[in-house]
Amino acid sequence: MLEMNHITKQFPGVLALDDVTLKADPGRILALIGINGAGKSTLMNILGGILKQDKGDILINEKSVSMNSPKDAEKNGIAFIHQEPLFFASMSVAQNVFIGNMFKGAVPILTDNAKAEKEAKKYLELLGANDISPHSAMEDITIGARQMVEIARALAMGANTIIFDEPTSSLSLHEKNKLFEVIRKLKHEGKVIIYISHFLEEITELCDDYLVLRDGKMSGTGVVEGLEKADLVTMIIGQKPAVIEKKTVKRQLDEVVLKVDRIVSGNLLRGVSFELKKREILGIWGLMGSGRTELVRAIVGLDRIDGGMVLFKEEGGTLTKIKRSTLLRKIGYVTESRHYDGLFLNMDITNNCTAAKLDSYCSKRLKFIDVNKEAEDARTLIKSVNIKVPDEKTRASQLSGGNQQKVVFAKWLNKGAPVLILDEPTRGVDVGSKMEIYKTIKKIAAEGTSVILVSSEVDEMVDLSDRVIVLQGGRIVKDVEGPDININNLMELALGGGDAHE
Amino acid sequence: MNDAAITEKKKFDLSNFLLSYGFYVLFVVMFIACGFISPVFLARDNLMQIMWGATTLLVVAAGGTLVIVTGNMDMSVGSVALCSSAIAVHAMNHGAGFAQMVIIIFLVGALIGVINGILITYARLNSMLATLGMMILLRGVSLNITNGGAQTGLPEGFKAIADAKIGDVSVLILVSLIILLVFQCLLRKTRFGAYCYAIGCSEESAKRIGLPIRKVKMTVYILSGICAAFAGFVSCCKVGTYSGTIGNEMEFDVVTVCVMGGTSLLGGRGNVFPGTFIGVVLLYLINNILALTGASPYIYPFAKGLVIFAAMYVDALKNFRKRQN
Repeated sequence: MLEMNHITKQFPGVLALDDVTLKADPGRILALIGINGAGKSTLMNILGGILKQDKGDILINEKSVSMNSPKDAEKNGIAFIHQEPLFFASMSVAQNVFIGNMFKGAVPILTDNAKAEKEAKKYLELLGANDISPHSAMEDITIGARQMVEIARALAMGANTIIFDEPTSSLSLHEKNKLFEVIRKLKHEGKVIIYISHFLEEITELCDDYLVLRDGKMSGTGVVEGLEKADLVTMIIGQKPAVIEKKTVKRQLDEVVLKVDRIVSGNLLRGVSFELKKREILGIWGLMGSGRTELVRAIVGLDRIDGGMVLFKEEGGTLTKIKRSTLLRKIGYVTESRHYDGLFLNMDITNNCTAAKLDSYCSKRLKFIDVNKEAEDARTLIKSVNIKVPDEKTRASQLSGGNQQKVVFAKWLNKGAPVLILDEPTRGVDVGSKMEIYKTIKKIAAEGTSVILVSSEVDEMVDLSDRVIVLQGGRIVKDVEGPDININNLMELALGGGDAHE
Repeated sequence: MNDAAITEKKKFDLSNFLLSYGFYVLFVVMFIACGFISPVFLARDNLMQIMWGATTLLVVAAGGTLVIVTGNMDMSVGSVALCSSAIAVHAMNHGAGFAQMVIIIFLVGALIGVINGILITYARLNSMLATLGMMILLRGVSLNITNGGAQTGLPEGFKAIADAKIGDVSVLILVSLIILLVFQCLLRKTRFGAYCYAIGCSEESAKRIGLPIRKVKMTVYILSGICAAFAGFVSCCKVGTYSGTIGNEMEFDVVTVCVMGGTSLLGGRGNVFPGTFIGVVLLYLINNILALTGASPYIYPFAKGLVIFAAMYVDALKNFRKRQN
């Protein structure tokens, strides 16, 4: 039994946590929900011994404990499974499991690697991950398997309380189901489990209890069973969300701006063709491994192709074949991971906003940059996509995930590209920002931009797309439109009943 | 990331094999080729000569491998070798005997290791720049102490150690081989070694799991300092005098041989034996065969430069592969 009673934490200028009480029982899964900045991380950092609360206390099995360092948390059997698994790439699975508590060998300073491998096997079998060899190098196994190793490590360190921090964001559907099985197993063994997630479906599917935080305060807590999703959303964002209007506006979609013709690439894409029309939001849907991201990368020339071509129509021109690297310069591409290739984290919002069309801010000859014009445009963009920042000079790294993603959008809006490719545009973004990003996407499509949307969230697909092409094993299996774009249909098509995916 | 591609990756791949083991293949080929080029190459005395030349670098590179495995650099090794012997010589001039000099040499090495460690772990300086500063500073210290000159008249002990043999193999060669094996064991068989790899793989992960990063890094730099001091000691033994050229370019040699032996400059991979060992021997083998064939000594740095480029290029290729996967 884990209790955090009346926790209060003051940061300079912000009351990060205001009298928050969390109770987690063994054998139950507690969902911790809230948008970015609601206080989830602060609360968990206090539990993990990284931060110290100003007021309130932590009780484990009714005994008060003080968490002054991560070591204290470990001693009290608290383990965190992170969004991105913590691991050591070149080391073996067994070493990764026991890195925190290695076995002593016959000679005192030596370690017993054979025993580590045997014990690691035991823990992995306990998790039902028999297919992971304790001998393989961490870098050679899948992300899902790495997560299993991380859970095995937590168990090996004697964890009784396991906190899963958005663990499914990089997993395939198959891996996700496997993870859920493991979490349920741990639950039945009487572990205390706290599950942090943005996905409401995951919470209703997996969790028993919930605690919602908003602006550092508790905005709701109780049992998940019988809970209405709309109520949950209200607790999270504080107001009833507007009913999602399914494309009632019938737009005229006839002018083809981009044509992809029989693209073959690597051992995944096997001849994919489609047309993208002006003002259209085209969804590319499929499970992990269906070739979604690969298709997009192939189109813009980031991956080699073995056959096929891409045709592009410029404003006022005709549809002609285009070199893919040239295409990338003409369109916008919101990549999957904004930290890696979407933002200049150490630069301010202004510079990020103007990065994609810096030339237009330059003087003719010597290419001096017109800083005032930059700042002015940045301010306009901040308003138009509603980035919540004090001013345009804030660094991108200081923003929350949602606001960072809005900056990425601002950059491409500023460029005014005729085609915008969005790969997982709302990953790791809180519900509030998500709605705003959806609004922006719909707005730019209505204004004439064509959008290709790649997403693993079925809700997003249904909400945004005018048309969806469904990929399976690197082939288009279906092209759906209108009322056929619904959750059940899309899931069914992606799974396909066939065995293209495993 | 897709699942299918990962399970299919296990197939044998010649280019991957060459990237991982190509260096060993090269070593064997070179070795055989040298035997054909020069009839005296394979003679026992010549091979002993190669090993004798390699003794200093072997030990420094063993310590250097540890540093590089943790993802750091120690550019101060050459200066540590010089400075520790300079201080010992200074002590000799004030009446210290052989034993005291040896103790001083190793203490100075360890002490500089401590300072490097503090600069990097506590003051959070970049390891490359901190040790680069240390390299320049220590050279200055050494020049000041010894007035820049060489110094003859070291105690007999130095010479005696250089001449000491077990059977007919030099004790210095044996000791450096033993140190090499001990370091390999340290890396692969102990908790400390596992921590070194872990920190090299991902310092962030190591921190969050709660590994004692500072302690490990301090230890690594102290060991590297002691190894460098050992090199200074061996240099004095070999020549029987102290000279201002001890440790020249040693830091670059260390990086070269480590990378040649497959240790990644990004940290997290590599080994002392056979990797670094073969790197050192290959470097000396090249010098040896150039000497045997009577090539101009001016060609030596050129040949070494080529080897460095080749080694760095292979390292870059490997890193590129890793990132692609």
